[in-house]
Amino acid sequence: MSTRIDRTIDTELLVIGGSGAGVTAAYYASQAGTEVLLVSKGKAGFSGNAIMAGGGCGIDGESGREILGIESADPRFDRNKLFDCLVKESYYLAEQDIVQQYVDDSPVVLKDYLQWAERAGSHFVAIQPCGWQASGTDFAKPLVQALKETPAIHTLEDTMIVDLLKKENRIVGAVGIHIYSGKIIRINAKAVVIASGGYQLQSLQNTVSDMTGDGPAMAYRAGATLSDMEFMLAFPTALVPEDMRGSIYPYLFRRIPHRLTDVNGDEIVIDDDAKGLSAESKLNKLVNCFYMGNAVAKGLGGPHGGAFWDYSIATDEEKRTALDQFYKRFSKWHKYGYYKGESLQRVDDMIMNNEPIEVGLGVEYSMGGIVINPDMETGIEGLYAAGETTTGNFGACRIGDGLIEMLCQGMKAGQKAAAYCAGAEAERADDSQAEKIAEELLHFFDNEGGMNAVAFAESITQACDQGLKVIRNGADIQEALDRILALREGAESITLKEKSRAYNLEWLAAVSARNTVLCGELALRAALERKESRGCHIRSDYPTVDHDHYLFHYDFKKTEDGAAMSTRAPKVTRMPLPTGTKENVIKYFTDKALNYDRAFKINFNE
Amino acid sequence: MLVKIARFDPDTSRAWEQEYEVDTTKQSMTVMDVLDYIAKNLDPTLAYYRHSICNHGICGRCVLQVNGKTKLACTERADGYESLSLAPVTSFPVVRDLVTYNSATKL
Repeated sequence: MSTRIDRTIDTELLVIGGSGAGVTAAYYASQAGTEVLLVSKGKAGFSGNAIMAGGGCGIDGESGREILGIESADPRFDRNKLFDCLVKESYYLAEQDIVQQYVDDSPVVLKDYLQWAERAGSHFVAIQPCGWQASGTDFAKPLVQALKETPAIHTLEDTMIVDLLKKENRIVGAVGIHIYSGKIIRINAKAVVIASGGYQLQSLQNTVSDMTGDGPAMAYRAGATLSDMEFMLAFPTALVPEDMRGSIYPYLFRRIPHRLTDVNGDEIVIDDDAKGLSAESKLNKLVNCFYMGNAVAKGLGGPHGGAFWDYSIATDEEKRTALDQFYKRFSKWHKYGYYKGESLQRVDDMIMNNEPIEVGLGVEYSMGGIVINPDMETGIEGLYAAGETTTGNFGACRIGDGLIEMLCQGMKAGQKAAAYCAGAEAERADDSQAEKIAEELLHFFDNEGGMNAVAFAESITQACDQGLKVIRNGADIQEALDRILALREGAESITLKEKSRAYNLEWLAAVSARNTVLCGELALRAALERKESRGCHIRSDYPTVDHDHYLFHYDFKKTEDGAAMSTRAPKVTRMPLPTGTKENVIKYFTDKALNYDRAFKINFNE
Repeated sequence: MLVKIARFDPDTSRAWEQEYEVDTTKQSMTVMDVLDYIAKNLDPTLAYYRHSICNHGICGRCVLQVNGKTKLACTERADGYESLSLAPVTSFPVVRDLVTYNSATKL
């Protein structure tokens, strides 16, 4: 029989994703004696968003002392406080049993991770109450180290997994494309862990490219539930110089005294209590989104769609000292005067010359994704998920650490999937199913007269830019949704000009478009229904946080008639859900009754 | 700006040089930005290293030759050049156009 499958690989556990969640899942499953294949879209251990991290991560000080033996850890920020903070930061939308898993398992996985880091030569700087600051590459090196030390883990790089294989209601493998050769790969497995990251749909991103929501989309198509899709975290990101677009230097320079201004040079006034929030914690991301985003929403943005950071309020000496301190501190990880591979000279000149710098809000992380339980089970037999691709840990707003989430969820997923594999028989999906997936991939080469794939992807991005802005409104969301639904109709007729399968970017764009269209549609539908503001979903037409009417998730499940939407209350284990309303997302935090205290002051002048 | 790109089709083993005209005066651009512009506006068939990239000079995978010198497309600014001549690096076999197979993974 002729087949469209170019290669078939048999394994016990397939792990999809080459960043922290995927590597830890693969590692712990392998330690439990399971045969593992890790498939990565980029380079294994160095793929995904972890390499783009710019700050630090941490756990509670009590666990830091007791479990990790870190003397400098501050036990006053204990397990209960971390739990309390995470739930409040999520606007009470987090699943409290999943938060508990994060609190309990983080120090456990860090025991191993810190050893890999030491052997990999990563440079970590201790921060209070119990955390580590490093560059993204230094956070990723331990993952590469773990793979190097665990040769039993098979890896397949530069491969995009497209869809899952099922035998009755159980997941038994997947089909993907090897990007260089264009070959179609079938993988048979007893179970699958999806750890392939989230969905960054807007044009201004500070992540790696191609975070096209592959994990949530393939899980959805296999019957899993997606939720919280409307919540995306953004923070100050470079617009200029244009060739540095997407750099996070503005965020790193946030401690150099500056004021926010609009296109007319008028100050964007940040309320005093909000300033207090911003100064003390990672809440500055939300504060910047609120104030910068509102100015832009009022039509006061600059030519690149951002607000301005004006450093003229600091003296030359203050600025010079701050910049030099930054370079010195970051020269542990980057060339002096550089951030990542880019020279900061032109930015330095702009700051010293009091030239206001236009800054945008780039997306970093998606809170929504695949619904899981604390064992990383998806409700579909044989299918587990971990890391950014899941939802439940951070609710409406992530202040806690994505890096920690990826490690502790990856560990749990690997352990649970390994236990499942040990007791499960190997089963194979019908060949016809794999052939159908391959046919769906290859039919793009036969299409004629449809929209070009690259232009199609660009249209999705533009629609998401309109509807999923940091400050949103109903009219734009509706219009963007209409655009996405119209695009969806044309997705299957996307036409490729290049007919070679080898490294065909048009083909990849066409295949990814199915995933971004889906994630975009669900995010917009939830954003439209959520007629309130909560966390990173901020609506100019509904600024109030409304606990009485909207303290629930919007879930989506595949049906014959498309994605069916339903609501679900967050799981409560310890902290009862609040009632009433708050004037806006900032007042939610500044309200003394919330009793929010992260006490997470990062000392940048060690 | 004149941009000359060394192209290669693995299916027919045809190699040729193709020229594009890109306006690099409106905004500052990296070589990656120039390639993106061509793919979006002039020629979507162009193969250049673009999947799972960091775009800020740390993943190191978008390596190519710019006017004969090995550079990263994502950090090499186009402003400094009068014209661009782009070719794949010579240390690995060419997959298509500017893309070489620099991974240890064999399939």
